[in-house]
Amino acid sequence: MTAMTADLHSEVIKAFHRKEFTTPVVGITGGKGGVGKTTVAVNIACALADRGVRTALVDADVDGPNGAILLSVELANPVAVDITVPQIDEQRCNSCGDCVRACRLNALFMPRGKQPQLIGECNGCEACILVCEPGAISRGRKPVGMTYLSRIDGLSLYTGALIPGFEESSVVVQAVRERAFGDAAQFDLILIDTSPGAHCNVINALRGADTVLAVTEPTPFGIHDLELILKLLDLLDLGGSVVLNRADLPGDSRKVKTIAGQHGRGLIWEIGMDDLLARSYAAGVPVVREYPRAPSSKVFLQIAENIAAAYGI
Amino acid sequence: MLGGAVAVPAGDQGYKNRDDKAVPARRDVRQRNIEPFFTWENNMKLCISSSGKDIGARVDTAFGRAPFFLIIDTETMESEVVANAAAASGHGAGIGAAQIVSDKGADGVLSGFVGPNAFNALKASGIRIFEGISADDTVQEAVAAFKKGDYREKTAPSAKPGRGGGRGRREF
Amino acid sequence: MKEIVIISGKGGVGKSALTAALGTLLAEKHLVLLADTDVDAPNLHLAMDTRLTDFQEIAASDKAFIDYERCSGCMTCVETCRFSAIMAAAQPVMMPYSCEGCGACALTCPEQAIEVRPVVNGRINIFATSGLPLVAGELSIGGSSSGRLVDQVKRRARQEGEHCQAAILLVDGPPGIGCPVIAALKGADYALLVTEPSTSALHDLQRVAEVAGHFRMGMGLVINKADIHEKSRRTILAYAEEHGMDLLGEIPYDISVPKAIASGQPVVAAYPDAVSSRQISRIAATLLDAVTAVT
Repeated sequence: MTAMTADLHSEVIKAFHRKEFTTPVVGITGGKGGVGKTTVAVNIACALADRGVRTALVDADVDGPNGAILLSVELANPVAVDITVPQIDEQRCNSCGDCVRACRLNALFMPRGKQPQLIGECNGCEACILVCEPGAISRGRKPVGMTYLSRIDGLSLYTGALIPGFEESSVVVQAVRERAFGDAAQFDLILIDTSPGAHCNVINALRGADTVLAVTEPTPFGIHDLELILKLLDLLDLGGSVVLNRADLPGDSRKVKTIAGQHGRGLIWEIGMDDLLARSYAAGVPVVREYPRAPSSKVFLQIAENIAAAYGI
Repeated sequence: MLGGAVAVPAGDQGYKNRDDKAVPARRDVRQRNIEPFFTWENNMKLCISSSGKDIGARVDTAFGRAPFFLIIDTETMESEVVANAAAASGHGAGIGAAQIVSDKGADGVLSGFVGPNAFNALKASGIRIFEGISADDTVQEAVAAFKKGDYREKTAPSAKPGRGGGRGRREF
Repeated sequence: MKEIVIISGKGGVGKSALTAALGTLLAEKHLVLLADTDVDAPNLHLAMDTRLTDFQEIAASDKAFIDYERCSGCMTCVETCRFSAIMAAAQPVMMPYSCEGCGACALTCPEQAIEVRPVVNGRINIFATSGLPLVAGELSIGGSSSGRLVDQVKRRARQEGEHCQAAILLVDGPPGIGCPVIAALKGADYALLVTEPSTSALHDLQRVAEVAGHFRMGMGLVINKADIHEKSRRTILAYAEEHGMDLLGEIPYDISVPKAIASGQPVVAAYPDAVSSRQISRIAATLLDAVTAVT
């Protein structure tokens, strides 16, 4: 398999890990969708908060942020995420067409005998503004998403949400990360829940993470995607443990353990299908709060203890 | 230009295309009792999306991604070929293609499907848009059919975008 | 060739399992081509009996490269980049996974030390099945521009479809609502939305339905694991009706499905008499009627 970024050299990795604060950051990702990332993230966050750890949970699954739903909390403190769109000043524009040529998305069009206009999708790169000699293009704003900050029982939830129909999800991921990281000094620990997959949004969400929990399930799909996500995490020099969710689904748990071992992940948390988890999910309350003695709750509490011990909090 | 002067393909039996497949004769304009669609507007610099560089090449039905455009003066049948540099674009191929075509001074575009963004761009330059070419035709056949009024003029962007761009944004 | 794309918003509700099953059933009477556009984590080839027969590397991603021999370390590029893709270290460091290939940095570099070039970001795999081939996209580890790779997968699938005279192109779509989903939906005739009765799945369904709505294509709904939560199920049915979606069918929770997948087969092949298989059979028929009605 070709890995375009197999030569991501040490400079890039260093830059990837750079952060301006000391609060530890734990990422939660999974590759395959629907394995229970958000459930894991929310429950660990609650378990930590309930121990008195000042915890922030960042929901960076901007396509479909569900952390607030699992916590039954309203999205509050909205801040729009904007990108620049070009606004052309008729008086100053000399119809040279440099902006049209500079736009690699072909978003600008200059009709015969008229000035350029924005017709296609703009991603806010500002190349057109940079090349315009008469300075005829000003920065208009186009909202592409929102970030929110909600607080519930000692836990701070930062949510990023893309406006459906737009493509600039990476900008929204960046915005929610920055909002949370800007407040990092207030927290003892930051947890980041990413979207499924292994693409740039997942990578961008994990920038600055110290360790990552890879969530999977024992099915063939889960195994296949676990391998992909662990390869990605290795490339980014991110270690961490594996959470094997719904461990009793038809599949091959042993294979999961083998793959985890091949990638140097010795610690595997197993969570079986748990009726109480399903019930608390339906009730919109995290299982660690609704049924603290449930089998799944016990595992979440152990993971939380493990993280707290690792970072001395 | 009046009906009598419109060119028709040779032979009333029709003609053969590049694979020597017989194509049924198109109706001779002079035998019809109704005015052909484009008589007086027949002269134009018409841009046709093409898979190759000459008028014997097959047309390409996708406007934004066609490798070439053939710009043909429908009266003199003089033609000029231009490579579609926008075809390889990740985004906005239709708009990029529209810019190339507009800069070449085309009066009309003939293609299989022109998406909403390309439509708006071409219209902003006052270029007329005709759709409906078939992937089986050569450019030459398409021009001939055009002169007989075989293609419908597109006067509004599609409700349903085609194979290419636009993402069907509602603000058309 | 009628193009049907299967999406869900939320991951893990059963897109790939359903695509494999529907594809298998439809192929009994029609020529069906399958495509997998979940390029980050393509799973469709695992749900059926397939064999890799060909692949093609794809360079559908543009990235900026800094020529350090020319670079003077002025860090103008760091300031210019709107995507935080360049970090200032001893020299400017380009983070390829954040780079959008817009070229703004190249335009403003005083030393002209930056160039934007296409890079390989994935491949298209062709799998042989018992019927027509399966065209699957696979993103490179750490690669970007999944949307553009999806465009290439669709293009190749359409070419294959024209070549084999396929009647139906069934596309397994990516999760989410972002550019890979938009690329998967472009040009399709019908969107089949899969969901399950939970608040999260409904939330994500609404978001992806809004995106599909921009394309004004026919939309139909399948509720998977339909019996796990009655209240959510009713909410979904009401939503579907309100938004004019075809209700294609409901599949109850059936252990046969994961069992079949674990054995590398679609449920309709491994357990044809299972309740899920019978429901999917009805869904296949209803789907064809619905697609014919809008095309």
